[in-house]
Amino acid sequence: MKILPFLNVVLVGGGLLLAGAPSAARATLGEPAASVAADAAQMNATAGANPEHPMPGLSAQNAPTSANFTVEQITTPDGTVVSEYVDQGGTVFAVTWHGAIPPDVRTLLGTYFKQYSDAADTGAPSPFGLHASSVHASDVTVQTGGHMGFMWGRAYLPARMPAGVGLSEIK
Amino acid sequence: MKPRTVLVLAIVVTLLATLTMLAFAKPGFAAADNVMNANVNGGVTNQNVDQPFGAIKICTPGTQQCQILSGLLIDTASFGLRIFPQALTVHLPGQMSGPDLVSECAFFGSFTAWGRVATADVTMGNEPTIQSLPVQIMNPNFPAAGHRPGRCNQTGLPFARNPQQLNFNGILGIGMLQYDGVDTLYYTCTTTHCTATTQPLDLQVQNPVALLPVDNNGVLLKFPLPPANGALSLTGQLIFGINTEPNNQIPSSFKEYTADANLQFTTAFQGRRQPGFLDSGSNGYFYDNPYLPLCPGSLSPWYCPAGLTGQSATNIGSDRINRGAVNFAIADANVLFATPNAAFYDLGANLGPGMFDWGLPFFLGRRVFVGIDGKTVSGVNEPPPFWAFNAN
Repeated sequence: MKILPFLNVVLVGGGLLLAGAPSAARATLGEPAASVAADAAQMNATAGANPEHPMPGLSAQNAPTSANFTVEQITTPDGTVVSEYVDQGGTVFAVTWHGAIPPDVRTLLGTYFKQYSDAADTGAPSPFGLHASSVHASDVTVQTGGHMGFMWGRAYLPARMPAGVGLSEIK
Repeated sequence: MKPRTVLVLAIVVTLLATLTMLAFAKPGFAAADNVMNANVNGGVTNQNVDQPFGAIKICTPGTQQCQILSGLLIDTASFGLRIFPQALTVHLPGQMSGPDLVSECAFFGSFTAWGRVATADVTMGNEPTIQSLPVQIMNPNFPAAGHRPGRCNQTGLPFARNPQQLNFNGILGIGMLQYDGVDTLYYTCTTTHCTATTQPLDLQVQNPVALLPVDNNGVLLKFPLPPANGALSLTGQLIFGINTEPNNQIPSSFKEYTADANLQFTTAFQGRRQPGFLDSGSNGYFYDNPYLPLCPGSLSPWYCPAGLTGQSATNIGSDRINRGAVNFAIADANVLFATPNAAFYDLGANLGPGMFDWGLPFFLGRRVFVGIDGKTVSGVNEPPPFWAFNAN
């Protein structure tokens, strides 16, 4: 076997970040829904989805709806739309984005950013190639893709996924 | 010199000149000059699969100081030539803005490319040389370690550092746009500090195909089909131009699928619609099928169905004029990766529902045309940007 697909699946810092441990930074993932406003301020973003190039009729464009969560959307100055998924307890358990220029993922992931970036940097090629990545850190999973001109990504906390919510709903 | 000798010489010279003209005439007697070999193999580390590589001749501008640069990943989902400095033996002068060096941050789905902009004379196949092409030299430590601008540091993905890390010597981006400036960030840098700037169009890193004198409106990628368990390697062709030469004509049976301002069409799968794109730079079919089993353990989220499994999706051009189904197959990735092979037509993974990424497996056994935005293609009803391909 020549491919090394497992290299992108490195567990980092297991046990250091216990449930609920993220500090009260402006971080969003794992934080109360109120942190969405802090994110928006940090990224000079505006409320709602105002993409540079709308995609009418496409489900990926519209805010997903569910009885199990709510979605708050903001738009960065680059026209990139960020959707924050909030559970019924008011905690952000997932974040997605799409647009030409990636958003400030450091701010969106908050305290989870370091374990993500450490796990992503394996020193080996992404087994998926140029335009796709799937990184499973100890507490957060981040998948990114797209092409030059349109980047897509999602980050979620597997342990915080509300009951009854499928991964296909995080888009 | 005797008059008779002069006459013979004149005849010989005339004959030679005629032969030379014939050899360079188009459509000509010589082999097609708009072709680059596209080889699917394990790459520079021999550790990856389903990646097509090409080679170019690259020279210090205006000189005969040149090298053949191979191991360039042929990518329909980006635009511009990006090179690791470790693979270069010729000097490529940096593009200047006054006393400062121009540099660029380019975002990819699995890494970020940062580094200076340089110029090079580039020859692809036997096409005329493109002079002073702006290219990116990927180096995370430019202009010095720790001096990248903040906006380039916010994705969390690793930076492109060297060929061994990413399995290629560079990226040959031959996608749908000529210029990369809308989708990247440009800076001017002193030895210690970089400042955001707006780069003029003609100085931006550019898709070299768009600068060819004749065959500049797009490309045709074609590959043979490997067996279901794959092939050690495949040799295909990257052909420049669309409907400009006898070897790049779109068959009348092909449909053109236009792309929107995001460079996407719509792909419908299992009743759900998402943005879709054709991507020779990625290694599999990446789409969300929650009913297809994932591989166990560390091979997840590759798909591992029990046996070759048929799938069908429908592509819809952005102008809604053309639509068509594509049947494809997914095999057990665990079985494929256990072979020594590097070319598979049936490899896929679930990377979420955000997009439908038609990676290299889609291109195997097909002919795929990529029309460049802003160019003209004769004989088609819809202008670029578009893709055209045989459905099955």
